[in-house]
Amino acid sequence: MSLSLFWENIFKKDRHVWTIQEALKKNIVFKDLTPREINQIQNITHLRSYSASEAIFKQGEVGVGMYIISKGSVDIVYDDNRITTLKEDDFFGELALVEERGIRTATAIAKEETQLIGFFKPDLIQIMNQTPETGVKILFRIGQVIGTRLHETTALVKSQQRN
Amino acid sequence: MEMLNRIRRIKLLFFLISLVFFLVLVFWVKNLLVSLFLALVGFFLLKPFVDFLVRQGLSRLVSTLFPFLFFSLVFFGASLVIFPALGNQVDSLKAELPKYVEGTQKMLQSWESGVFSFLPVESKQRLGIELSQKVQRFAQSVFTDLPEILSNSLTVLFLAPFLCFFMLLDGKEFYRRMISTVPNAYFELSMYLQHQIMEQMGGFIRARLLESVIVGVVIWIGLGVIQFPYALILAVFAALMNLIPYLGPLIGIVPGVLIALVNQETNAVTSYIVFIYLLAQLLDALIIVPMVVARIVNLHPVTVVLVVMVGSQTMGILGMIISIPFASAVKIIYASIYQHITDEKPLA
Repeated sequence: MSLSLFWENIFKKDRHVWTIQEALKKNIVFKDLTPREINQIQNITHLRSYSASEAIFKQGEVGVGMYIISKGSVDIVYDDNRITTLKEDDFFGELALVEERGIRTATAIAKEETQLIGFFKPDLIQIMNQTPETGVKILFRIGQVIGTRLHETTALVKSQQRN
Repeated sequence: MEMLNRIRRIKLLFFLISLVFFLVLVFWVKNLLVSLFLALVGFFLLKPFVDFLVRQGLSRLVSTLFPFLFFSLVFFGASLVIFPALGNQVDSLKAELPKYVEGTQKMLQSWESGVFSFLPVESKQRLGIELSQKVQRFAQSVFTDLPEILSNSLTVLFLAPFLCFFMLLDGKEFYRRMISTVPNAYFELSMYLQHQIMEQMGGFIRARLLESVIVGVVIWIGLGVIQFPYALILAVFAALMNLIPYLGPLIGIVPGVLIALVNQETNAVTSYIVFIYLLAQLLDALIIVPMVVARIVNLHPVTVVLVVMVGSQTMGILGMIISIPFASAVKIIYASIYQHITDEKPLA
């Protein structure tokens, strides 16, 4: 135990902070932000831990934000049917950031022991009020994500109509 | 897995212990509840300024300190002008109070004889005694309680800004730490409730105070023009009462009209006074309400009356004033939890 201290990088920053920063940098929503802005976002995000089979949110509930998976995996379930499984660095729930009263359209359940980084609407509003430039960068990317998802859904519906 | 659950249980336990300790402290320590309420009012008033300065690139500490010092100076300057004038009027009213109490009693008695001609004999005596006793008791209590109110005010005057400053400076971080202890199942609901309550309360408090200031200033100027006695006290009273929806404006007008009637002012003067009070309410209804009413939590008039009655029974005038924002917060919490539980399917 004491020997391991000799080998470990004890000068590295708090592991939690480091994980959040790395995860934010990799995420498309925060892609355009400067290191200073990433640091600002990291200070307002929430790190949450879930045990296996624990619900993150349920279909029909009011949602307030998005989650980035920093460790583990998450099942997305619609009307008791599993739609997909999301892995590390994937994100979900971003629609709730911009909807007036974002109702969750599916249930998210931790598949194993999972750690999530939560970024919520009240915090986004605070960023828009205090540093609108940062807010615009995030909103632009959220718009892009929603647009891409809409295109994909439209293409899927069209292909199903053709068949 | 077991370790994770253990940490969560400990966190939850700490959260609940802190919450209970905080609530006991607030209700047990004298003046703390009032100071906390006023600090919260200050927080909502100053927050837009602090946010503005942070947006300009200043640090949180400087952004908090600057509006705080500025408004403290403005308040101090205003108190140098307003407090002595208010003190003089209070002294003078104290001296003349027996005259007004007697005058009011006489008026009540003369109204009684008119009204009671329709009522049975027993209720005549009972009501007559009750009315005059109540007027006398109320008038006496205002001045006997005044020293205690003032000594409490001094404590509040130091404690409230102190709390307000740290709410503005560290409130966000404190809130983050508190919410991190909330169990996963209630986490999003707590975030949603906190956001809704803060939005509604901020709008509510700013709007109500703005309304009160406008009503107070209009009445002060209006009564000052004809050099009506106690214009400032009447304006402050009407402004404070205006914080109570529906009932407040009605209560606010009573002392002004009573003074006019007891002083046997001419009909023109009495009508002018009623007109000033109505004008203040009209400006409020035409300018302020359309601008901010959409953001304010709407409570049904019956709910307002019941809530104000409960507030006055438990905490007096202060209870009447803070009962409305309190009831609004309860309404938001109730509605949000209800929707959270019952909305099984997404809304169409």
